[in-house]
Amino acid sequence: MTETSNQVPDDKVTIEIDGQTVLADKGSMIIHATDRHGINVPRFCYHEKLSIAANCRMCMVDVEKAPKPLPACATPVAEGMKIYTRSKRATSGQKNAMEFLLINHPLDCPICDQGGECELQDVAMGYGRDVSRFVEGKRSVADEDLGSLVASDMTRCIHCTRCVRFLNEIAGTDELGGIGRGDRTYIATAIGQGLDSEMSGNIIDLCPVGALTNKPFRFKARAWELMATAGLSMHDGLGSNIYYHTRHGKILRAVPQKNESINEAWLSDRDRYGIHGLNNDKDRITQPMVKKSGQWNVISWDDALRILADKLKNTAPQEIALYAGQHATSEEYYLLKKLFKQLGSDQHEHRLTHVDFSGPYRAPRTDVALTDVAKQKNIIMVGTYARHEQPILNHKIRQAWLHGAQINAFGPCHFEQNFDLNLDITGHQLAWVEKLGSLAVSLSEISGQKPDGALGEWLSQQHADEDINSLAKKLLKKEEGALFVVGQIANRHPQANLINALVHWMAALINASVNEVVDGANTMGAALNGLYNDQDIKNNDHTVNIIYQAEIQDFAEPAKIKECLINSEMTVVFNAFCDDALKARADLILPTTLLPESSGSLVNNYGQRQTALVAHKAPGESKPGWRVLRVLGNVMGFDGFDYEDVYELMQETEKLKTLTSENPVLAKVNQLKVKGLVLFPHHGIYDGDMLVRRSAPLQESKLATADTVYVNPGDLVSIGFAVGDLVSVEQNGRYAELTLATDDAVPASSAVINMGRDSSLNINAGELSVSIIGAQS
Amino acid sequence: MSKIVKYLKSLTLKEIRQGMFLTQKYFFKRKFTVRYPEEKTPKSPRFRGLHALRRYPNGEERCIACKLCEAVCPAAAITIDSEEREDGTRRTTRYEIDLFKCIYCGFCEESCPVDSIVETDIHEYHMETSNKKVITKEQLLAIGDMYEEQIADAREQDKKYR
Repeated sequence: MTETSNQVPDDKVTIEIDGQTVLADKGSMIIHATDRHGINVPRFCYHEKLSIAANCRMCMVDVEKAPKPLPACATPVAEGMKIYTRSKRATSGQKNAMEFLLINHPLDCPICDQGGECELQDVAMGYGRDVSRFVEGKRSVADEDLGSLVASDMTRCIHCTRCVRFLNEIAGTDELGGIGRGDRTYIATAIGQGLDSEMSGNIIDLCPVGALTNKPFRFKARAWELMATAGLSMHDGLGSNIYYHTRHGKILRAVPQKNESINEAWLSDRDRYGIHGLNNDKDRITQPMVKKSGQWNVISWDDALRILADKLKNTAPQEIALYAGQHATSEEYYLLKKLFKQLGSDQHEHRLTHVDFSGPYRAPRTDVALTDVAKQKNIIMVGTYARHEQPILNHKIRQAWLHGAQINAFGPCHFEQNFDLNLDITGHQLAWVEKLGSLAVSLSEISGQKPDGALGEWLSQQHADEDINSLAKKLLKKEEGALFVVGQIANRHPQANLINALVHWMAALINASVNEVVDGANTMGAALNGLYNDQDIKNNDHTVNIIYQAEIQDFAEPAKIKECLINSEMTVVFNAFCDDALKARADLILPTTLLPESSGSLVNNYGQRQTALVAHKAPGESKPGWRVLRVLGNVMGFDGFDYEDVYELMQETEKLKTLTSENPVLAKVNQLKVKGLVLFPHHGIYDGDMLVRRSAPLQESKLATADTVYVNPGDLVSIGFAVGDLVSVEQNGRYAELTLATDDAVPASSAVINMGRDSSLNINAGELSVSIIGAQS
Repeated sequence: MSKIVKYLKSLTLKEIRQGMFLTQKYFFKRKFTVRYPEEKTPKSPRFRGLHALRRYPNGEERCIACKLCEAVCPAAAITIDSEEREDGTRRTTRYEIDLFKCIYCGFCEESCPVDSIVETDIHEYHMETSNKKVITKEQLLAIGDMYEEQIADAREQDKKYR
């Protein structure tokens, strides 16, 4: 004994579980050791990602010399501890806890959605009594409407408080709490307004009973009928790992698949419920269609591809333009690039959400891996609302904050965060960039270094700011390091190149890292395949425009792209959906499938390449995009389009070299003059892609945006309209009809318009001057 | 020796007489034959014939779409789709039984927590085209409505053994 204990590392202790001698971390709980060694201890309230509550009392184990059974989740290990998980005292403790838990639990398993995948049901099979000894009336609790995503049956609750702890610790919204005492305890929101966390769906997975269940999935199927297919989320640049649960070839729900390097055990609501857009067949295209004298005719795939090939052959190469959406697979991008190379055209672009094309193309820069974001000490968020852009990234930023990081933000709006900001510098679209300039000015003044060229010139016109000066002093100490997170608001900014140049110069000066948040699930894949152009191809005239897996709403400049499409001879749409706005401008529609209906690989924001399998049966004659492009290549008579299956293609996309991000080149600063209000084109969390826009549960949820223009309350007098009025927002002679609303979070002389909606199709994110005039009605 | 015995047996027609005696014995006994379909043999209350879906006395269908019958069915003859009804209760939108697949084992009835799906004692039914072999929820409920008295009576008789 003394010999073995000599070899034990300092941070370990030797314990004995059921006669097996194991090493456990000092200060860890018994349940950590049993879990690591595969010894089953029943539990309800304990969850490895949440704090320890020890309130279900199910994990009772017998510890030698302890007077009573002890909860394994809340008993720290000690040297020489002898633990029995299956002894009579342990099992009787577990059985008694089970009996108490079942006292008030209803016997409605047949109508409970959790039936078949219920932890209480499973454990009751092992530890419950056959017949209940409880004859009194059971407790019942009134249900609360928690919104369109989570259904509640609170009578079934066993008060494990996993949901409460999740919303406090991970989501940071403190929305649920235990109210009352004893058997009158119930879990509820404090004010009855439902849940509005962007991560709220996770409490469904955490709930060990059927108290919190998936609302859109309610009563649709049983756990044992479902088949799980591993897939990837296509709604943000992370590619969160998902299991799609399908029945009869149709996806019914999505649950997280554990991946510590990306989404841990969580899934944002967008990833969980976005999939319901697939089952929305309002404007789903199921057959190839061609427009002949204003009428849509259904044609065969052969005819459709022949029409397209003939047109491509008879058009000058540079007259053919491609706008590729940012969530197609790398395989499709690979074939598109191959096609365009052989056509001889470089008029292709995947950065549909960008408006500033002044510098040469540069790949997004990501210095810090996602898991390491949580270890940062200083985070400066530049033009980003990470909570809506990449909810899991925001979770990591919040983790960093919980560990003492200081977080500062520069942006066009006071966003609601689930952590405290040290500085929340806001101003209208031009003003906040100048404030960012102030930070650079302070850094430059203190360090005595100045940037060259256009940036230096621009910086010499900026002024230092007292608040920002203190931040600059802190950043210059360098020992803690810093991370700039440059987000989608910056990507869509008409001075994006200036912002990037500023951030890169500051980062180089203080030795900080930069992470740029990409706009789409596979922006990196499109970049890897070279689907970009150094100029804004929307400015060139094209005879043929190809829209690949995108809608007009996906463009930052929808009004501008509408012009381009009208002026061209032929618009070809490769997509799963085609709404009226695009249909009016299209000439040929080819139904291709979206990611869960086809397999392929995605490259996420952090360069991780992941593959996904087919989970959903595509409707009608829809075909995977790679298959359509492969046949198109053959019809065109091009070489190298003879792939037998997608795996052959995957082998080639796997070989693509990784991206290296160049420093931004700022030849000239875009000097912008604004008349009237300054536009902030806000992209709502559920307006980002064609699936979430069609997902009914997400659109009904509290985070969904409305057809509204928000202004600062102080500007209301000069605008001359009242809150709730229907107004016209004018931008260079184009109008959008919106409802006027005020919000204190909006800075003065700023107008916030929700982009990606039908109501904002006339608004270009690149043109900052807007004015509010009376509705034309 | 055995040759002689065999010869004597056949000479005296012993086996034929034995057979004729048996015939004569049954000739005077009570008859087993029933004149089907005018006459029918009695059936056990546990007889497992055509399926039916039952209702509560207030007219509400019993089935709650728990899908246990679908899960337990060894022949995978039952297909159920479920949804939340307007009043928030869990109900089936489709309940179909393929009578050709069904092996009439009665597991569905045993698994049902609300005594909704039952096997009646109806065993005389036919269909003229093969696509009629799948009976729908409406048909099953109609059978239940029509034979509710018989079904309830059979369950009552068998109650103490269940």
